[in-house]
Amino acid sequence: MITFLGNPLTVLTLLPITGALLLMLVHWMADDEKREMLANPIRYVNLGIALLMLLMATLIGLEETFGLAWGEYLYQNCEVGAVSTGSCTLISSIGVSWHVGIDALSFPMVWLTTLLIPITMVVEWEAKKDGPDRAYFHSLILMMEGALIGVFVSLDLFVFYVFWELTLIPMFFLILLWGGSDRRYAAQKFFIYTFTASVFMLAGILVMYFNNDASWVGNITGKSFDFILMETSTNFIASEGLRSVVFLLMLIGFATKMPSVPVHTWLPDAHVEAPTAGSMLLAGVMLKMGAYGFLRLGVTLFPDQVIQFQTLLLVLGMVSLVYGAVVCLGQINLKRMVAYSSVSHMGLIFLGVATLQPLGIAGAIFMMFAHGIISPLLFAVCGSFKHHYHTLEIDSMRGLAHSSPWMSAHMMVGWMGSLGLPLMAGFVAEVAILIAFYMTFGWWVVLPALTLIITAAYYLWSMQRTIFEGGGDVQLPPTMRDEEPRDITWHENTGMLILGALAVIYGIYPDFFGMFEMMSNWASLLVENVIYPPEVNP
Amino acid sequence: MNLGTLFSGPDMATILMPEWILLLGIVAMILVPNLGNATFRLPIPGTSIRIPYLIGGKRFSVTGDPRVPAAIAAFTLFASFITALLSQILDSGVGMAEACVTMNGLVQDCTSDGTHILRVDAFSRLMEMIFTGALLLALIANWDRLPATPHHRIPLKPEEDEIKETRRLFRLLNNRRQVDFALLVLMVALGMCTVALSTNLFILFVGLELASMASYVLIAFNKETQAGPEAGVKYFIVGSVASAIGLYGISMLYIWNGDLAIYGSGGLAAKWAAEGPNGLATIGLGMMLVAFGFKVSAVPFHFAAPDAYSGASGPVAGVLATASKAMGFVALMRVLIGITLADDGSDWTILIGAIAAITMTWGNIAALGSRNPKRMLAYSSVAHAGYILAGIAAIGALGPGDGSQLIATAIMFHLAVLVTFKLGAFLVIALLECEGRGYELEHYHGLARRDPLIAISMLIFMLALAGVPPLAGFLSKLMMVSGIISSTVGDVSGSSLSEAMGSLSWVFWLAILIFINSAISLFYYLRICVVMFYDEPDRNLRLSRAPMLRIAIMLCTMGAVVFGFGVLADVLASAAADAATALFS
Amino acid sequence: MIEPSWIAGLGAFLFCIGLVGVFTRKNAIIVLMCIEIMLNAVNLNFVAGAAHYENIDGWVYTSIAIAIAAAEVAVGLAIFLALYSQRGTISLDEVTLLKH
Repeated sequence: MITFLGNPLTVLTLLPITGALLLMLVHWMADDEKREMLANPIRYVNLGIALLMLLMATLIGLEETFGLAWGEYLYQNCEVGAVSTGSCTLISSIGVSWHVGIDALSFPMVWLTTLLIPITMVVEWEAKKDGPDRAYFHSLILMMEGALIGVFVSLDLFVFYVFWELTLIPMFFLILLWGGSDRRYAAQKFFIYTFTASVFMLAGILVMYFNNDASWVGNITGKSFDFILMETSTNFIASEGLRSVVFLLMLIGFATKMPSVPVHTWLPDAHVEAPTAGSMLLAGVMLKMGAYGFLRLGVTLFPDQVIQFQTLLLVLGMVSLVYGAVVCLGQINLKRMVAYSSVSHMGLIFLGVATLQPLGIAGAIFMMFAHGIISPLLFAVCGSFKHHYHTLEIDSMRGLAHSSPWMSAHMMVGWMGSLGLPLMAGFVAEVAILIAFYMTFGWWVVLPALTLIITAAYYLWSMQRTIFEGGGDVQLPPTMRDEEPRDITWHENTGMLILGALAVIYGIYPDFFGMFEMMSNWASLLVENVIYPPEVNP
Repeated sequence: MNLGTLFSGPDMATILMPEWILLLGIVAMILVPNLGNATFRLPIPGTSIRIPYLIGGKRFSVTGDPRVPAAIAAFTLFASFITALLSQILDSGVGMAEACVTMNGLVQDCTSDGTHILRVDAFSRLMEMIFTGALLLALIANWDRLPATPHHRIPLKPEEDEIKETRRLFRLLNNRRQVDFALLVLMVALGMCTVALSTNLFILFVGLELASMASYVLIAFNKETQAGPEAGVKYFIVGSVASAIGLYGISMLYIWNGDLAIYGSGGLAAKWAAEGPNGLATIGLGMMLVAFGFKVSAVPFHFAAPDAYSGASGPVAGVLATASKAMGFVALMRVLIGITLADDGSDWTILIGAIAAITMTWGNIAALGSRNPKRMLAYSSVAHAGYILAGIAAIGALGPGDGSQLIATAIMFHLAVLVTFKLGAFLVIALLECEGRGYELEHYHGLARRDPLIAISMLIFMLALAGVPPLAGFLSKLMMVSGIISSTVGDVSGSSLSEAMGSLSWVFWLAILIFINSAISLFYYLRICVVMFYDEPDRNLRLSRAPMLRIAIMLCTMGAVVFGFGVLADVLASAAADAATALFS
Repeated sequence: MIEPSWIAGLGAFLFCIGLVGVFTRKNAIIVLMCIEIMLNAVNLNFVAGAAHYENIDGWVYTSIAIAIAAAEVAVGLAIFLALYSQRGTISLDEVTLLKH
């Protein structure tokens, strides 16, 4: 039904990018008077395209039930194994093809992306800056969407890497042009940090590229970047030791993007300085790129190394979890606080993968998804708090509920979800990961569990103080001066309501839209087929 | 050889068509702008018949137009470019595509015995296209008169003096010397094409000198400015010392072998493979590396480059950083790959590898500390030379084979796309130079607000230089590194991490070093991007109109984008692959 | 007849003189002369090679190298003149504007 436009995934990837570029061009070509006039229609067109994308992604989800066999990708634009001869070659002389496909790991991410993009647009409908620049804001977000979806659907590692880096450019400009006071530093740090990390990943990809059996006859190198060819290649990196080298190279790239602890420092700065929409996307989808890449390339292609470096993953995960939580306690800046809680949650993803249990991996994937709903909600709240109270110092506020009831409601929902209280999406993921952790490591589970519980308690107390304390006397932050405190605007509210509702829905019924089942299917097939493969009879 | 044999057969005329066109262009350049109504009276008493002989007198309005030289030169370069392209497209693989010229001016099949001095194949054709293309872009950029930077980091005089000084400069730098400029550009082109064609070290050197000497003058071209002559003097002295050393190296090779042809039975490669080098040959080769190392601005010989770039006008600096550097690499590849690769276990490999590592690191670190974008780009081109040298070192380490050919392909591809984004960046600087600025980072503040299109072009150039996908710089760097990394195939053993790391060839770490360096380089490339988009401009004037310069910048921008991803990238990559095959054959 | 190796030896000697001069002298003209000495060393080498192998290539190379040297002088002097007319000096110690 949805293939009438050609391959739906190609459309999902390219339409936002070309659309955004065209819209920017149209706006740029217009003369000054027209520009002012065009700004608004352009925003609507951007939103329209984003909604169309959401519709398409939803249709893809509805059309397929995702009871997939292992290694099966839907909506591929060319046959597996025929990439080198088929019509989808892109740079045939070095073996690059435009090969897209979607499976149970990437679909949730694609759907999440298409869902978040219109929400971020609506939440930051009035981009901070006045004047004509405003029209570019939504276009950049739309461009971002194309690049993000490109990362999730491309099955060619060259194209994967291209989109991986392409996401940096719109985000760089979102931070640089619409960010907070220290945005220049944050934008550069963000770009350089993540770019540096990903070149290590590229080195890994190149070693993989050369060390497999899959061939592409007639090009310069005789090799192909195709992921599926590599995955099914019989002689994929023969040397065990080299595989470890590549795995570690990839891990550097992915751990920085996620981010895991020793390489996380770009995240708080980028988050604090980014505009609301930027933070939402950064936390909601961009961090997931790291986790996605780790599962897609790291775990799927290097199962032995995951077992070999299980301890490393555990340590990384554990340290991120604890460190993120502890640093989070010390923050008075609301956005920084949420950023560190993201670090903490990404640690849980590593823990989930390190269990090597289907449940743990499914939990990790669900954590990606749940965090992708809850943290944008929190960042939206931060953004509106900053917008209406002109500060991010959460401690300077008492009795938020009296002056801004909606905002405090969303804040409560967000924090509860983030801390993994029952009936929220985060809870499902955490419980799944902790159970799997118990199954693998026994009573060590006390460690992560205690961390989670203690931080949860602390935050609830702190939130309670900020939101409800003070009786009828509202204590406003000094930055308010004499302004009357307001509640959030209706478009902020719309976005937050959707996110909050989803957080609750997925907490009560994780299988909504087939998500959890899809993920656990993928995870159990991964464990069965790849990590502990059945002994092949000679 | 006598002149007659030059035109004896159709072969000579067709295979060297691009060079003939350049030569004709040079002649036309000398004649056409001088055409006038000069006459002379027949020395017959009582008559007043005046016979026009056209050279001199009052020039015709057509030939006296200041844009004529640029037009002639652009047409010549364009025709030369197109002939090279067409001959590559039409004849690829057969007939003329592989032809050699002997010492006495005969066209032969390259497999036939004889001392060949010129060789036309996919490699030389591609290089001709790169050279003429780069020079064509520079020339188009120079179409409208380009004033030089009046004050180059020189303490500013009081305000009124500055205005007076600027006026004086503008008066001086009118179009009177357009002919000189265009003529020199054509000579550079001819010299470079000779280098691309030659398979005899001496001929190669003559071409190199022709191009170098013309470029010394081009650097010092704005002789009214403070910086121009100084840059010219520095570049000239270092350059001519380097070429004297290189020529001495060549003469040592001549004493060693008695023949300076690279290929063929009596050639240097054959002797090198058969006997191995003795001390004379090794020292001679090392001395040649000095000369070529200067041309590509590799590290111990880099120090004149930043001065020269910042003293020269934008387009000229761009040519130095692209075409001139490409010429150096052509010579380097001819010598190192052509002569020494036959002998396995080449000693120079480690040396070149070390130079490459130092060059790229040093270039990047120096660029980090540089506040003048032109010097910054100069250092960044030092760093790029380091990446290419790393590729050449890897070729030496891997020996002939698929990996080496891939690296050679990547080098050629890189040299080709470098013309788009590096030259483009210098052209943007040239656009700022039109208003007498561009030598300070502050002059780039708020460029996005003053001229969004130029700012976006500059952004693309910077990202391409840093190697951010999907731009051309990324693909070239990726191919280079992938060639190096292909050494891991089957080479690495060991089941544990440390064993595998130990058994990795040292070339692999060069690849990692390239990655680390391109990450470092992001710092200074991003700095320019940030000031363009973030800071407030200190003046709100639009940039100069300079339509031709803008066209050249747009061409470069398009090139940087389309050669990075998609069909044209594929076409260029296969052309580079053909060239690499030709180089190794 | 003089042995070709003697000629080459003289060439090497001249080359060293030229090289040392280039690095020690500060007057641009003298530096240029040192470069010329180096090029003449090259010529001697070519001559020696041609005599040794008894082929004509070396003589051809020599005559072209002389032409190259002449062109080099022409270009060099022109550039020095431009510098001189502007600064009034051709001492290489004093050309230091382009430092950053």
